[in-house]
Amino acid sequence: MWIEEIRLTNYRQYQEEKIKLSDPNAKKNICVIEGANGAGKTNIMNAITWCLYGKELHLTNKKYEGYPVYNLLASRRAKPGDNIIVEVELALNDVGSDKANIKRTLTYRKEVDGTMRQIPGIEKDGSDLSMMRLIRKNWIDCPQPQFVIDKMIPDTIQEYFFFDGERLELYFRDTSSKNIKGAVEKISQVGLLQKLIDHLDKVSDDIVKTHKGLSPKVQELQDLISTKKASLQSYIDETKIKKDDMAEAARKETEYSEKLQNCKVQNISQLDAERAALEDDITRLEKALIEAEDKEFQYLIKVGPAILIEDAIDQYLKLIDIAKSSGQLPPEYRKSFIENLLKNKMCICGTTLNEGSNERKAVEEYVNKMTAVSDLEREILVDCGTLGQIEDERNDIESTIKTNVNVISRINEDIKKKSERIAQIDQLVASCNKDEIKRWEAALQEYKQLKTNLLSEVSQRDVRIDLTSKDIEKNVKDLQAELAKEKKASELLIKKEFCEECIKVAKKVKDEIVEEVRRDIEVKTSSQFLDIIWKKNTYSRVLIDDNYNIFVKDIAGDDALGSLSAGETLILALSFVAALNEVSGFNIPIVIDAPLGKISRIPKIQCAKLLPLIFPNRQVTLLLTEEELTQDVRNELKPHMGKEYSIRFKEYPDGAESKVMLI
Amino acid sequence: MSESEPDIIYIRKSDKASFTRLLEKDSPFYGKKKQQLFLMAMATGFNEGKKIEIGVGERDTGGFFRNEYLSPRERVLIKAIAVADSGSLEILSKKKEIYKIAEGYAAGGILSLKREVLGSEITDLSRKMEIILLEAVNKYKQKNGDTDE
Repeated sequence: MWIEEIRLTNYRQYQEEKIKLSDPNAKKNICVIEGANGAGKTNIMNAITWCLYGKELHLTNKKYEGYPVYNLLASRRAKPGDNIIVEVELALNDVGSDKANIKRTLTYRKEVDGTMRQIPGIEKDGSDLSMMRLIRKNWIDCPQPQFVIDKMIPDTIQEYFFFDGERLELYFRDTSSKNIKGAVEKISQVGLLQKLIDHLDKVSDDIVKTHKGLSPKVQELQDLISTKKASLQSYIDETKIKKDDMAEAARKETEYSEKLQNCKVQNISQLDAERAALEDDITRLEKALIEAEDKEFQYLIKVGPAILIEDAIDQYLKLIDIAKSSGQLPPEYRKSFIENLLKNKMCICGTTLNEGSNERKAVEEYVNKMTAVSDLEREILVDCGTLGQIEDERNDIESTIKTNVNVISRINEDIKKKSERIAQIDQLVASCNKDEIKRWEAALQEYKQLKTNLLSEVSQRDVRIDLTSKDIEKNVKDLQAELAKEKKASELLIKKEFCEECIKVAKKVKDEIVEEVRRDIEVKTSSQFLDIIWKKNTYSRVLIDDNYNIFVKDIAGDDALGSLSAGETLILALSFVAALNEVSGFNIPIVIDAPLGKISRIPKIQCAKLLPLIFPNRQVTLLLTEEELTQDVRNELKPHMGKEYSIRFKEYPDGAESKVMLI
Repeated sequence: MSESEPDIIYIRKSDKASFTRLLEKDSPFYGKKKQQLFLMAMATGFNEGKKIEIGVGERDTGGFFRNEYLSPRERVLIKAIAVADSGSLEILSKKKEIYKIAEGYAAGGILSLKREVLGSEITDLSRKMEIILLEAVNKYKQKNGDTDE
């Protein structure tokens, strides 16, 4: 099946557009629609899913989810009382000459106050859905179009045909086993089997419940089993929610981790803390420096005067030596003592020293020869001691100054090193948006913690599920034993055993189908990937194990999934999707939005070369930005390109619209 | 008997502004004792051989600091200058004369000191003083036959 034409009327930025896509039966099965970001490429995919399912599954900005789908320009130009009809029609081509036209319509009326009121239709979302099928040259109206559409392109697997290329490379990073298992189960279409199992389970329960006249013990056991089954289902449902939350937390963790890895500066909080600590250190060191300098200066002004007047000190000491050697120091008598004798006119020997006497004259002569030094003996002695200390200090000056200067020097060096480190941090941080990076770091920690908490909760629930399942098993055995005791319950027992056997068989069949599909997908993914990847001697196989974990083994046998480049991951993801497509048996067109967005130049060209080989004979529509559709990429796609369009933005005074122009 | 020491040490009136300036916040001597500044000025004056006789009316009558604040070490340095200036130990009995000599040398050294100090940051001044003092120490050692070995 393929889409011949998409017709848009008043749908989002498109007023009136008809887009013919490429015919996969021709060699050129690829259609390229190029447009700038925001031009409306993704809305072409949204138009397809809206037409088929009444949902726009690829809104790039979640805030537009509640936004009306009608074209704003048309609504502005409408007069009160006018109807705006939003319409998306898909003209499908099926096997042979069978065709189908699917049309979904939403009607709005412009009110007097200028608001747009939706006129409800038949479908749940208020739209009207119609489908015409051309069967054996006759157009037939389908009475239950949604039912038919779900058979042709089931909603549960549409994401493997209409997908966002930018999310593909994350596919194998976000708890890949959950993604893989989900995909395999959906493709296996085992939902019906599961419904059968659930139904048989209920029938088995009701067999005893609805039968009257059984012993209270049997009733009690049956009620217990029912209650526990309800609890078990509740645990299973809760666990599923927790696992989904865990997957989302893991995805967010990856997202923020990548954002931080792509920054020049990582761990900005650490750098901030380091900077603050360095500033504190510098403040402390500057204070220490002032103290050290002050200590040194204090020392210098203490010893400085003594050094500057060294000659004076030497002279003082010399004069003291001379006084000592001349007998002046220590004196025989102090001058003041002899002067006192004269004053008292009495010598120490008792001789009177009257005025004019010879004795007095002799003493006066003696006094005249004496100097004041004799009275200064004690003071000079003390000064000698102090001068001796000053001389000793002189010997220590060099080493003391050296020590002080070293301390000062070390502090200065420390300050310099820390200042340089601060400057380095500032330079690093200046090159990025610090606040944003801090937010990312905080978000990363939050999601890491959330994931850890959820893992713990899931583990606890798994234990509970296990215990409850075992309990139920035991209770069922007890019930069977009780029923066996009652003769009238033998028929019941047979029915119950039959139900249990059917459930067992159905589960076995379900598991076998899922396992077969898993193996099939593994083989096809591996084959596809190895066939087309450009590194021919690097990888040996792709494995999807029993737990749905995917591995890409290199030739040494080691897992290389984590080291695949963005381009290689894209090829792996596309190979996987191609395998899903093939195994599912559904022949549905492929629409990929921005597959080459995150890939660098050379791998982009390589991917463009390989894309047509992944989905041969299948209609493929690529929605590309101008950055993706480089000349090299166009050259690679050209031989397979049936149609090429460009979305142009056209502005008017009252708004804008997008036009899809054929190139 | 020798006379008693003067209670107060004086500076020249015309030098008061310089001494005050050197004790202000931006000077390395900020927070230091007045006698420390006085001794540095005195030692500078002696080292440069500059002594200025301070006439009777030229003294700052408010006084600069009290004698009792001098430490024995500082007092000895003042006496050494007076002894070197007079050439005799006799000067030691003339206490007032000792301090007059010291005040004269302080007056002689204050302007050089002010020029040196206010022209530098404390760190530069310290480094300059370190160089001067270490040179003086080495010169003394050489003069007296001491070696570095």
